[in-house]
Amino acid sequence: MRISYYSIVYFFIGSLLFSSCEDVVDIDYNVPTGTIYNIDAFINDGSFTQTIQILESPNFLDNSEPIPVENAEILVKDHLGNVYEFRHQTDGLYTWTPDSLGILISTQEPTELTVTIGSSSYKALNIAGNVPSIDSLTFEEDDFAFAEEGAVVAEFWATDVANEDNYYWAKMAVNHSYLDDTYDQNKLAHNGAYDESSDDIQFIPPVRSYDLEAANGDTVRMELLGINLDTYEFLSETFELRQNSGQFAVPYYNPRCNLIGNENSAEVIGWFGVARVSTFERVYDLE
Amino acid sequence: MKRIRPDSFLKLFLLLFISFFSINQQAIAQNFTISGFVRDAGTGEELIGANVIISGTTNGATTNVYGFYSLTLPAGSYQLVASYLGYEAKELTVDLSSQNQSLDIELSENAEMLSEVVVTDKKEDDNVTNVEMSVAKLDVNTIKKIPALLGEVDIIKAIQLLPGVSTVGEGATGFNVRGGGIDQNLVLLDEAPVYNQSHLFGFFSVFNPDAVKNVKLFKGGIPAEYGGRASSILDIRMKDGNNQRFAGQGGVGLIFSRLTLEAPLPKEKGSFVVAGRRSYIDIISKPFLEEDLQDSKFNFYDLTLKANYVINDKNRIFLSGYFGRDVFESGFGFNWGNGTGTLRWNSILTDKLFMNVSAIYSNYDYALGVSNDNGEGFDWDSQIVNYSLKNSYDWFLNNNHSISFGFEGLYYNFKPARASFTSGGETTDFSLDDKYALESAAYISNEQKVSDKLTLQYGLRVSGFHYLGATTVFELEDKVPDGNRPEVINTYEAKSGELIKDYYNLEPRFSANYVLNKSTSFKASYNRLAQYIHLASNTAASSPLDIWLPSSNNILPQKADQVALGVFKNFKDNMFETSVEVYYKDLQNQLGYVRGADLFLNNNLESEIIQGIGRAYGAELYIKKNKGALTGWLSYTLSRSEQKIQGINNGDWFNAKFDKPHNLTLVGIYSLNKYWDFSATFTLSSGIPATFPTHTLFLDDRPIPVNALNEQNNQRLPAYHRMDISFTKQSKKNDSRRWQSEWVFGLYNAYARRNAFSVYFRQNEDRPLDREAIQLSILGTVLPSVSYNFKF
Repeated sequence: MRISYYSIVYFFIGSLLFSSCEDVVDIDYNVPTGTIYNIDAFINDGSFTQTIQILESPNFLDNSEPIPVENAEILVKDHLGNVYEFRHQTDGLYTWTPDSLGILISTQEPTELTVTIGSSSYKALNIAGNVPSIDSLTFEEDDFAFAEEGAVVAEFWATDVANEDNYYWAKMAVNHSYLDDTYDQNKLAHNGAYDESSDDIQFIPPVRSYDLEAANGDTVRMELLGINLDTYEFLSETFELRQNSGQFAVPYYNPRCNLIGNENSAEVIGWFGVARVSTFERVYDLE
Repeated sequence: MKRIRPDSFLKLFLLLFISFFSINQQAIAQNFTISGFVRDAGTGEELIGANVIISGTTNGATTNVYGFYSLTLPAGSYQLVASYLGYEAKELTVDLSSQNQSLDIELSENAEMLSEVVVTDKKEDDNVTNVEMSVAKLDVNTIKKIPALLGEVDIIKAIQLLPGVSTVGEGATGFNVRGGGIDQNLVLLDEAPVYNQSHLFGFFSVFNPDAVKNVKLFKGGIPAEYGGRASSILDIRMKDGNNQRFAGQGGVGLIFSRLTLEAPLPKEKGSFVVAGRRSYIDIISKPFLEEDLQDSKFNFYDLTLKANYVINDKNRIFLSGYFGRDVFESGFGFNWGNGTGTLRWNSILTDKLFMNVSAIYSNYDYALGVSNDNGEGFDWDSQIVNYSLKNSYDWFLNNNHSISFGFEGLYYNFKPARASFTSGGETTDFSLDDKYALESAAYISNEQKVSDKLTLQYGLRVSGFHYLGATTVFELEDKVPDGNRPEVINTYEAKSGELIKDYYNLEPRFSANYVLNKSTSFKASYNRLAQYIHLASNTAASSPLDIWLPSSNNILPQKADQVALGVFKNFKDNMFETSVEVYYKDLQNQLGYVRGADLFLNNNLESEIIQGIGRAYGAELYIKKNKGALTGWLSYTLSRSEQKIQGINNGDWFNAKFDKPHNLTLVGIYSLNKYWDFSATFTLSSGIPATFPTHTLFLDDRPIPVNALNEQNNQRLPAYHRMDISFTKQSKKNDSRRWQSEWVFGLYNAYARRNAFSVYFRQNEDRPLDREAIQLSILGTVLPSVSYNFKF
């Protein structure tokens, strides 16, 4: 788990005493050339449109629009052999929309992804985790020590699936837009908490708690995804890299990748993740 | 690179010891011994490293760390000279024609020299004649003259101005010695290890300079009596306390104030010293804080105390301790601190044999918590405690042989986390297992004067480490590290006291000094060091939350072999002291971390760690001016520190995070007149290595910085430079007035350089898809200071 209290302490004292400063700087450093594909392939068993995005990964400080990959062939095969073809829409986004039921996703057998881009071909396998239903979603004023006046905390209420090791990714969206995850709004949980010692417990704070900015009438949607350990580790790494800053930053690294290319394939980063999903929607009404 | 084999050194030591005993049996007949302590006449403090020599010769003895000397001479009458720089030399006539003599010598401070700055506390040519090399020494008077952050004198910061010593930046805990990590330095305060030497996250060190007598940093050629860390030993000795009169000193500064009191015990039975400091950041800042922060606490304090009691002429006991803490509370609570205690018994067993027994306690702990009015929240505290027993002997056999031997045992209790979440009246416990270990060592060494020109110091330390239950033992898969954490293949619960894993190491030590002439010498040294406990830290700067952990069935002890060669040359009657040293260090079992390592609240922390090799090498140039109105030094270090760990940087060599190829410091202290001193320091060094992201991973349309090619420390921060200056105005000197004072005016970071502490990357706040690089500078501007110091 991440500890953010320390950063709070440090920056408070540092700014108070020594006027520590952060400056946006132009730095010029060599980045190796060559195409690296960015495959963001998270799908779940929800009966709504599933999306996979493929881009050419830009250099990190290159702020021009990333180049979309529009000529890829994307196939997902479930554990029973059913194949789902994702078709390109726009800007490297590929979708598959169910008629009624979503993709059949097993928690025992792997689901397979195949991506072909010209002469490069990638395969990945992943297994979903179990997920409990979400019982409710509540809103109340935040009485946490650091909370601003009038701040609202939204909490989802669910209980960890009993008698097994479970990993979860919890995401909240307001009007279909996910909350900014820069400040711990994008959560991972292990057995409803943070380690294997818990089981069958109600999800604890801060996993279940979100700082919410919403207006009356907004739709607040909670998604709880059951994932496996590999996906959990991948997401942990990406969250750490995204929030990595300050005096106690860790060295940047390449997060794990489960996409295996054939011999002539270009380098690839990203992940194929499959999940069982529970959702809960509620109209915001606290104002 | 071929590894240095200690076997050949072992054979050499055996040979030397055998030859020594065969020679010695003939040499010790018909001799008599004079022994005793050398003390400061004004305070009664024992003087460490004072010289007692036969007038007109170079034969003599040096006081040990307890101020004791012993000199064995053929029967006769002698003129002895006792000397210590900054003190009037004293000439004494002793009659050793018929029996041994006991003689305590008191030296008076040299008033003339006190008006100048003294940048060493040893005899003038000690750097040439002493067998020690790779030793950095600063006396407290010098440290007090160096410009300091907010005027607060700091021992650790002063040490960083010496060759071979560096830091990763302002506000960083600890220091790096010859390319080693901060956990590779054993910092001892009166023999007790101090695990975190920082107040305020590293801006100040925990040592109160008013309570410190002696500071010595061993970077190489480390004597056999020391061990337990792979890079260096910082040996800090506290004052014993004035045994002549009640005295005190202190200071009032912008951040904190300090007061030290010392006095003799009744009937000349000893003395004590009590020294305290407390910051008042919270009090000063209170008017500027919002109402809801008015109850906030931001302070740190420390208390240092020591007492000694003279049982009789031969026996004396000392009790010393340190307690310090940093406290930050404002809705959340965060505090950390060290506590140490040392009970020591000095005994003169014979005129030639000095014994010390020490019982030592050391503790470092931190606590972190946050809660709301409903009692919901999070609590976490962590601790490392150790108890140790040391028994050491100094045997001044004759003028050519001085033998040290002893043994020690350290018992560790690691308490990585007592942690819990409370929510809805329900508490979830995340506490981790305690860990236990026993470290032991025995050593023997001899300082042998082979001839007037050649002196050797050689010894052997045998160390062992026992990782003990009760704890959960993780057995990990045996695989070539690939950057991913290894799988756990088995776990079991070890019973209390059950041996889980043990390690043993032979650690030979060797130093030689060949004096070419009165002002020139050549020195060489080799040492092997084993380190059994490790600090898990994966960030550029260490933090108070970093966790100490023992060697185990999965974590191997770190080892370091170091060879060093040096030339020492003084000029103009020791006015200028120069040296050039080169060194090569071969390191084994260096710590690295798996990708995305989770170091906090992880019961299986060992699976996050991967180990590899390291190498550090360099050259150190040191030019020091000891006398005159202008004193100071220039230090330049050219060095590299690299690591090779499978699973990191694609298995290739990479720069260690504290690698600084160039490091230049200039220190000047100028005595303008008898009232005003001016001092300045300038530091210029390479920027530390950093790992920058190369590409962008988009996940849910959010850009994530990634280092797609896994190149570790693939870039370097901009060069670091800083100048600090200070003026000191002393009160009029008046021998009849006990109260003396001075004002110190300082400018830290005088030209307001914004040195990069780190560069990190983030999304632009207004344009979330845009990425930008951010340079974090801990000091954003010049920091003026004024402080008032006094003593009576």
